[in-house]
Amino acid sequence: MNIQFSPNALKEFKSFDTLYDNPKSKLLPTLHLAQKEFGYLSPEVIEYVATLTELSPAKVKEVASFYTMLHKKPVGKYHIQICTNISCTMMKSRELFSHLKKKLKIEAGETTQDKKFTLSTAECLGGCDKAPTLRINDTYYYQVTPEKMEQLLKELP
Amino acid sequence: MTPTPKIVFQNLHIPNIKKLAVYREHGGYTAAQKVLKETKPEDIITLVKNSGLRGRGGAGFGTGMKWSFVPKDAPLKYLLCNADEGEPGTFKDRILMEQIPHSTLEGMIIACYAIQCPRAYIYVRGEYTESIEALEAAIQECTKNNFLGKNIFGTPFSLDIHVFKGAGAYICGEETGLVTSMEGAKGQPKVKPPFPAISGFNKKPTVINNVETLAVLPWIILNGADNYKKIGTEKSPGTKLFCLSGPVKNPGTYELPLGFPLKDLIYDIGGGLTGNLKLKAVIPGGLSAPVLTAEETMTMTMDFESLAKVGSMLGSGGVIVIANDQCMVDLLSVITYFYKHESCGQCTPCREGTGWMKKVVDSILHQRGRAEDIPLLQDISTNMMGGRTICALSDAAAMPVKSFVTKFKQEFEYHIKNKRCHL
Repeated sequence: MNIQFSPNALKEFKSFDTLYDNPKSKLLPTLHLAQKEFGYLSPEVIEYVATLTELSPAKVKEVASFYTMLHKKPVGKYHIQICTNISCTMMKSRELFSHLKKKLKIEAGETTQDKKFTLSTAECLGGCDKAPTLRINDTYYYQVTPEKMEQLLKELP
Repeated sequence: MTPTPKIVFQNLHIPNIKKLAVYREHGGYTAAQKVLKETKPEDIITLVKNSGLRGRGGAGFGTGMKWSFVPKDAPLKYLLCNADEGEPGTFKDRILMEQIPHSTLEGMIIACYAIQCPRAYIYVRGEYTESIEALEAAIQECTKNNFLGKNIFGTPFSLDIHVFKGAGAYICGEETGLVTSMEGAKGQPKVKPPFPAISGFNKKPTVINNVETLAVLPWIILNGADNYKKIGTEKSPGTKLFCLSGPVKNPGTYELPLGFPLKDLIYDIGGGLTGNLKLKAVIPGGLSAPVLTAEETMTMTMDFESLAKVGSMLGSGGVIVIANDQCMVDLLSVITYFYKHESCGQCTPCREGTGWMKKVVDSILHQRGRAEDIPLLQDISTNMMGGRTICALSDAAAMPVKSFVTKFKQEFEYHIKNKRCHL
């Protein structure tokens, strides 16, 4: 196996033992940790997580495939997730999404060639009172218009 | 109107209330201390039963009743706080967790003591990074000060609480889906019975309560069941957090007594609709709640029984306002996509039905609709999706479809007949 957790990640993984009575409960936290560590859950990472959690790779892959926040393919440096559920749709999130598709020249679920941006639709993010809502990586942005989006993209490091 | 005491939002606007010291300065943890030092567990269950508190996650089940199902002699039990807030139009629990995380923790201490459970988890939806950070910081402070851990407040009672991060799946807000997710599996709900109170997480007796439900508990302990029952209606006591969204002047989360007029929420508190928009419809309790017409909205009060009477529901308290600039066929397409995306796939009627409904709605939207598509949607939503699956997601998917095509039939007919939108 070519990949391995950093010492810090390994320490965090070991701490899961004290948190759960059933070792199977460690799977989702370990997948989160692996994604943080390696960026996405490649087949190799799935194998590694399976070894760590003493589960079959098939089981780990099955679980990883179920959850939208777990990436099975690489994502860009900035993962833009725009809510397209009802309140955001009414506040023009689809227009914002079209704008971004045109600007970044990618479709939903795709990554720009320079690997800088991945664009996704998202289900309700719980920011309906300040719609349209989006997330870039782990940060929320609210009431985003196409103009505000332009500014936001410029300010990203 | 007499002012109603704020219960879960009583400390919301106090600066740094997320810090333990500030929370304590404002009476925080006195309820938990009182309970652990002076009250018998069974008396807490009786008190909460008497308060009439009903779960604030959506189903509205009696909280004290839920606790009383847990077998007293079980050696290991769990409390899971359901913070997987995912019902579209709902954003109340995140405010509680981000701003006043200690009130949820205090509620959990009280609930755990009542059912005598030594270990609890908060299942927070993965996207809520700020909630997770606030809760983890609060847990750390509590542990440092012996408000959590061994022999809390110097009493024989011990409890540890951990945050469990979800990974993006609406179905994990369903309580047995939440349990399977925590057991390292796809979040597919389990057949009930056995109910979680008998066999839940790790097959042990488990109570699953919503964030808002737990955050109410300290107030009930300090002020008593009778005072709680004075607020709200006879069958829906207390206050509720309502999340107002859509094109209104003041969207946001408001704590109001149950039984509050929906019209006043939209027009007084919400400031009415923006611009020249007119009200067309309201989804009163999160996306799954059957839609109300503008006319129904004007006389509706926000409590479990009034909404049930017209075939809708209070649900999570997510009030989604729809104006006359929206096409109901278009919105139903958005709604059906959501349920198709979130169906976990284990029950055939739901897995197939959610996709089928989406296809039929889209064919109407894209001018390929046939006259028989309206009865077809009614047929699928009634006969295929209702009450035929392990969990309620199928029903939740069916209810918007049924109510949209019934109450706004003319918009669907217009699309089919004229091959264009009426707008």
